[in-house]
Amino acid sequence: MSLPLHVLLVEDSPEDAELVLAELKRGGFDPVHERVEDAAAMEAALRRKPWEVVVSDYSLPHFHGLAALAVLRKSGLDLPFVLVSGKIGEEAAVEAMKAGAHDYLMKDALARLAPAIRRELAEARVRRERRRVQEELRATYAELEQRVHERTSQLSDANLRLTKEIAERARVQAERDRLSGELLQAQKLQAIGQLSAGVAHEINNPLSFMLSNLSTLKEYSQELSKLLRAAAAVIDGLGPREEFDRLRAAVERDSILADFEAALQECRHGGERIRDIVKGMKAFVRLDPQLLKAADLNQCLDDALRLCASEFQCGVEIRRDLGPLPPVLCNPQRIEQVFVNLLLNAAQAIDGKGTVSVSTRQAQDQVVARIRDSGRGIPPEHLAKLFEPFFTTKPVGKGTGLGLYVAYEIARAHGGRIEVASHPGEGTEFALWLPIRGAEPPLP
Amino acid sequence: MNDAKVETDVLSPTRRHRVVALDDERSALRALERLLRHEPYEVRTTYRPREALGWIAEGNVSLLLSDHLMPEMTGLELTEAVRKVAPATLCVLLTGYADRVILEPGWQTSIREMIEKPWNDRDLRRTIRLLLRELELKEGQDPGSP
Repeated sequence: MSLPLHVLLVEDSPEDAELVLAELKRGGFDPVHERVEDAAAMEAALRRKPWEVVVSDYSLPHFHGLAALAVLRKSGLDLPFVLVSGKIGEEAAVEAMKAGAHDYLMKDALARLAPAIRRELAEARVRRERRRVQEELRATYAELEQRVHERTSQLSDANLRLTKEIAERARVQAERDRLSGELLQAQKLQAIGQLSAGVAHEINNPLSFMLSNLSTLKEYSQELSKLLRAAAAVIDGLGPREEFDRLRAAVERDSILADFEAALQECRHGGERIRDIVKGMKAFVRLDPQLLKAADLNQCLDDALRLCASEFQCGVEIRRDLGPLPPVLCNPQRIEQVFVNLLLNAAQAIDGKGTVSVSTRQAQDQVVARIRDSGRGIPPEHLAKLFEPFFTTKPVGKGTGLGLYVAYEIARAHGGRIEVASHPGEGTEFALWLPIRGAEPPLP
Repeated sequence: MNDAKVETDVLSPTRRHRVVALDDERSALRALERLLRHEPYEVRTTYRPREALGWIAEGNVSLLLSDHLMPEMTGLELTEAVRKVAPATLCVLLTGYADRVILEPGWQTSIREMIEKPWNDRDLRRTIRLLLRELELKEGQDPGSP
């Protein structure tokens, strides 16, 4: 079976053309052809039909094989181009091959034509295939390039968004920090306001009766002076006995001498209360960094126990369980004050018999001191107010309501805290936690 | 007493007034007892608001002098109770918390006067006398009341 072949012949001689076609048929092809003999006709033919091969004469009256090759190349078609000539020098042949002709045949040796065309068709197919693959690769590459570009631009958009988001977050955080700083400041001011109002009122009460008692005492002293003068006058024989008796009766009726003592005593107690409140206030003065030192908390606790010894009734048993502690950076006098306040609180929680257990332990970079009593316990409704200034359950004049507040403030100033756990009827445990290396940053 | 010379606070020699003084702080109560020991009326003192209310409910108490902030109830709450059981009894609040009391709506309906702590002895005595004098004048115009 013959292979169909579209062949464009560039040939001025119809006889020569027939020779070529005959040779192709003999070589197994079924050629469909067109014959042109100048550039314009060739261009038109190339445009008109899909050709598979161009077979061109080397020398034509109005054309030339090399010019025909140039026309083919200009058309952009990749067709096998075979030159056929009657007479051509070796030099011309080489030139033609350099210009891109695929083969070169002599007219008297056309037997090679069919195999040459078969070979060139196969090579053209290979070239087409290669081009197709290259084209595909280029397309794929371009698509990849495009995708990489898109992805890159998506990433850079995302990156931009993230950068903006990070900046926004930083701004929000800065704003939050600023606000919380202001809030803290406001809370401090509010606390100071509450505290000073509380202090004013707490001082007001003793001040009221002290001032009133003082004017009464002035009256007492005036009456006693009059009595003394009257007595002196009687003794010196200068005054009437009746005046002395009248003044004496008045002084005795009002029990002025006894009440003088009592009023003085009450003034003194009032003064002591004010002193204690003022002393409590001093705890809020910043911790002096020069007074901070590496101290033995067990020693502080023992000192506090000694100070409080007289406050524990004889039915109260003290249990000590002091563990080995590293030195703790603190103001030991302040910490001792915390222990004293907690111990006094424990002592006052116990009616009659009971136990107070003190223990110390190291817990990583902190130490904890626990003071537990077997006393009355604290009602849940009082727990929240426990560390508020002036909160007290003791009768007026018996407690300032500052002890636990001061203890808490001292712990806080050291970067520590006080925890409390209580069960009414079973007792209460206070735990003082302190960082071994002191507050960070060093204290305001 | 020099105060007695001022005509407006001279009290009737026949009318024996009773004044109840209330403060949860005993030292304050004793200071008030001393301050009022020569005043022309009887003074009873207590640190328990309910006891004060009991005495007033029995009748014949002209004036209550009360602290405000106390554990059992506030002075304001007590004076509101007094207004119900003995509307004729005058209530005077003696407090360091006047600024807080005046924020309470309607405090003036049950409280006749407010004296701030620390008090001025002379002003305190004079205020009580003036109020008692006022009470006497009112009783004179209105013979129906006791």
